[in-house]
This record gives sequence, structure tokens and C-alpha cells, in this order.
Amino acid sequence: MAGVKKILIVDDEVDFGKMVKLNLERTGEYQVMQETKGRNAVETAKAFMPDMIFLDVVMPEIDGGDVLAKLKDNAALKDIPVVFLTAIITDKEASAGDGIVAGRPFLAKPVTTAKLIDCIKKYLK
Amino acid sequence: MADKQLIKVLLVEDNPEIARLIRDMLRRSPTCTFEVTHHAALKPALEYAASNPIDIVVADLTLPDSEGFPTFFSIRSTVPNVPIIILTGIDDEEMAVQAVREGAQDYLVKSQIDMHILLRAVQYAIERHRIEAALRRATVELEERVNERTAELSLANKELEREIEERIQAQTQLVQAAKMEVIGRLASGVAHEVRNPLAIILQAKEYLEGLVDTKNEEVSSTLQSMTRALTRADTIINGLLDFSRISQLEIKPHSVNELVENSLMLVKHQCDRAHVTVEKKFGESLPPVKADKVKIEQVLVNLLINAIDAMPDGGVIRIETSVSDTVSGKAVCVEIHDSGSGIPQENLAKVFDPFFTTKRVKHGTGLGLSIVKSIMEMHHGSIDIRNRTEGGATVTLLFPL
Ligand SMILES: Nc1ncnc2c1ncn2[C@@H]1O[C@H](COP(=O)(O)OP(=O)(O)OP(=O)(O)O)[C@@H](O)[C@H]1O
Ligand SMILES: [Mg+2]
Repeated sequence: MAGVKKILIVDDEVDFGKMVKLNLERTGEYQVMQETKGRNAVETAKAFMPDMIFLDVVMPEIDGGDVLAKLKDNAALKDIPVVFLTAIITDKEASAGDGIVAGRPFLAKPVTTAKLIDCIKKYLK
Repeated sequence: MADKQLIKVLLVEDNPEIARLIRDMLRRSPTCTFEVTHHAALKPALEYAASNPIDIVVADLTLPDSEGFPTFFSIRSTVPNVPIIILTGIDDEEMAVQAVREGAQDYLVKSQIDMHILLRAVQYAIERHRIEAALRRATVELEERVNERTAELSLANKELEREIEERIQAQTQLVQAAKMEVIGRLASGVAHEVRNPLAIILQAKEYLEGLVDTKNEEVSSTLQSMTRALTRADTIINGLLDFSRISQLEIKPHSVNELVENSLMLVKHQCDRAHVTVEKKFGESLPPVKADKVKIEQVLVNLLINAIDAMPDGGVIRIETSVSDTVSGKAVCVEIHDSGSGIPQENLAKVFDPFFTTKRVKHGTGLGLSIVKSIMEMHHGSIDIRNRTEGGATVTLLFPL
């Protein structure tokens, strides 16, 4: 599966992760792993070793910000690009800073598959 | 004896015996020297009183040329500021009492007069009269002071009323701000909760799109309906969110004319498409306004689009900027006139309400003007919308300086 990029999506919305997985994998260019529990994110990432991570912000138990900190603490994971994929900001707000909000890459929900792919390509040049 | 007080007495008494008796008694006073002038009838007594200084009048009311009360009144009106003691017989004591009520200082019953009573009566009368006069002066003075204070108070009162008015206004603004905050918090919560399912629907729709025959007209129009519904829901949510975010303004001095130009550029395409022409009448060297550029451009764009919407068959938008005097001081004023449909009277009061729209078919959210108003309030400015007599509507924005 050379050239196939591995994407991890951490989001407590089971159906959202499932749909994103279906849509991305259908292109044949991505392999997607879905993780619905923020506290398992680091373990899953270590096992899966994704090329890129989409991370929800508002999750029960542990939020996206804390998950990011844990990922950055891990030597093996700290260089993997992480993009926040969240409903707390509007698409307008995300686009205003060219995808950067408060110094971090953001994508606003709802998001089209096309936008997801643009974003992946941007961070995995 | 030089330190004895000198008191000038006018004695009016037709009975020479009594007159002599009183003179004698007064002469024997150890404390005062009495200078007594005696008249046996009223007329000469009044003549004397009118042109000579006297300290006290001691008068019988029954005289050859005047009888009873009129005697008292004549004396009093001739020397209103001199105390009067009435001399009376046992029979007409009643009348003397009446005279005291009318302002005489005291009365003495002739048959009972002795020196002590007389001296005391005279001295007390003078003293009482002096005190009364002082009291009257004090009263006048007091009245003057009260008047002064009243004037001061009413001034202070007006000041206070203005202050209260201002407080009420500030409070209303606070309440409004608090309401906005609640709406804001609600909005962000709702936005998050609604966007997540919308995100799933959008992804699911895209997934299904790959599995069905999109060339089939019914299928593709169904998918288009879904896309539109999703966009609409998202727009409403975003509109609501705009409410919650307006408290975070980035205030800087800006040229209003520049903000207007920028906004016109953003709607140029819509103007052209709707055959709407724009006339500008910009005030020169206007003072800068303190404003959040993005938000005010959002305000202007909203208003321009409303104007364009109101002119489906084309028309003219005229924008004027100026400095104007308002009740609360100078303000920079932006007026947007359109030649559109105007607003039916029954809708005028409702256009600023969230979700009020006459553009349901065109999927208007009805949030435009309510957001515009909130933004203007956050800038301590104001917005007013009214119909023009020649047709169309005028929106006036005021930015206080
Ligand atoms: N310039 C105007 N001329 C005539 N009617 C107007 C004008 N501006 C606003 N209105 C009326 O006020 C209503 C409310 O305006 P508002 O901007 O709040 O919402 P909207 O324009 O209907 O929806 P949206 O702004 O979301 O597109 C409009 O539907 C329209 O009936
Ligand atoms: Mg509008």
C-alpha cells in the first residue's frame, strides 16, 4: 500500500468518525483509524503510527487540548501533524486565519470531504 | 443717672387724674427714665406720633374724639412699629383683650394700676416688641434663605434626575449586555450541539452520493435539497454565533468613508447583478471613529444587501457621510438611502427582532438587522431605519465622537 497515507481521527462522535473513514478510504489514498476515546488517543496513535491526526476539541473526560499535549510529550508522536476538527468554531473563523486559529491548525465542522483532503494534502506535502 | 435707659412714652388719656397718676409712677422708675408726652384726645396724639420718635404708646381707647377699637387701629396704623399698651376700665376689659389679639402688646385696668405693674408692663411691652421685630426680621431672612436653598435644591434635583436618567440608561445597557451574554453562551452551546450532527449528515450525504446514480434527475435534485438544507442550518447557526462573539471587538480609529468604500467593494457584484447604482456623498475630513473594522463592514454589508434585496428591479443606493449634532453630542453619521419597496408600517417595529424576515422564500435568516443593531450598540452607536417620503428606506448609523 505504498503512498497510502494513514489518518487517525479522534472524535467522540462515533458516526462522524465512521463517515469520514468511509469517505476518505473510498478514494483509495487513505487508511483511516477511528478512536472515540480521547484518553486512548496516545495508545492508538503509538500502535497505528498515523501520518496525520484529526482531533476533536470538546470530548468527555479529556479534551483535545490535553490530548495534543500528550501527543507532543511523546517522542515518537510529537512530529505528527495534528489538526483540530471541531464544531466550536465557524468555517468563516477557521478560514479567516487560513486554517490557523490561536496558532493552531483548525477545521470547522461540518466539513466536506474535499476540504478534509485539501487539509491533509497541505500538511503532508 | 446717665446710664438709665431713656424711654419715650406717648400717653393718650382724657382723664387728667389717671394721666397724672401714670406720669408719677413712670417718673419714679429706678431703672428707666421716661420722657412722657401726654395728649387728651386722639387727633393731636396721632399728629404728634406721626412726626416724633416714640418707644411706646399707652392709650385709653375711650377718648373725646374717638371711641373703642377705631382708636386702637388709628394709632396702630400711624405707628405700626411701636408697641401699644391699652388702658381700660373694668367694664370694657373685653375690648382690651380683643385689642391684644389684634396686636396690642398688653392692657392695664385703670383701677388696678400700681407702679410695679405699670413699669413691668411698659418694659415687657418694649422688650416683647423688640423680640417680635427681631423674629419678623429673622423670619424674612429665613424665608430668603429657604428660597435660596430651594433654588439650589431644585437645581440639584434636576442634576439628580439627569443622573438617574443616565443610570437607568446605563442599566438598560447592562441588562442588554447581560442578555447578549446569555444569548451568546446559549448560541455557542447550541451551535456546537447542532453542528456535530450536521457534520455527520454532510459526511453521510457525501458517502451516499458516491453510491447512487447522480445522473438520475430525482436523485441529484434530492441531493441538492440536502445540501441546501445543510447550508441553511449552518448559516443560521453562524448567525447566532455572531451574536455571541460581538463582545470581543477590536477597536481602532477608522475612517468611515474607507469602511464604506470597502463594504461597497464587497457587494459590487450583487449591485451589478441587480442593476443597482451607487451614489456617494462623502463628508470631507471627517474625524475617525473608534470601531471594529470587520464588524462595521459586516454592518454596512448587511445594510447594503438589505437595500439591494429591496430593489429587485434595480434602483439607486445613495450613501452619505457627515458629522452631525445629536442630543448627546457630535457623531459621525452614515446614511444609506435606497429607492426600494420601503417597509410596511406594521413591520417597522419588528425589523430588528431576531428571525424577523419577509424573505423566507429566499432563505433570509432574519438575523441581519438584529446583529447589526447589537454591533452598533457595542460601539455605543445607534441605528435607525425609516421610510422615505419619496419611497424606499433610509438607514441612519450614528457613531458618537
Ligand atoms: N432597506 C430595506 N428596505 C425594505 N425592507 C427592509 C430593508 N432592510 C430590511 N428590511 C426588512 O427587514 C427584514 C429584516 O431584515 P434582516 O436584515 O434582519 O433580515 P433578512 O434580510 O430578512 O435576512 P438576512 O439578513 O439573514 O438575509 C427584511 O426581511 C425586510 O423585510
Ligand atoms: Mg438582511
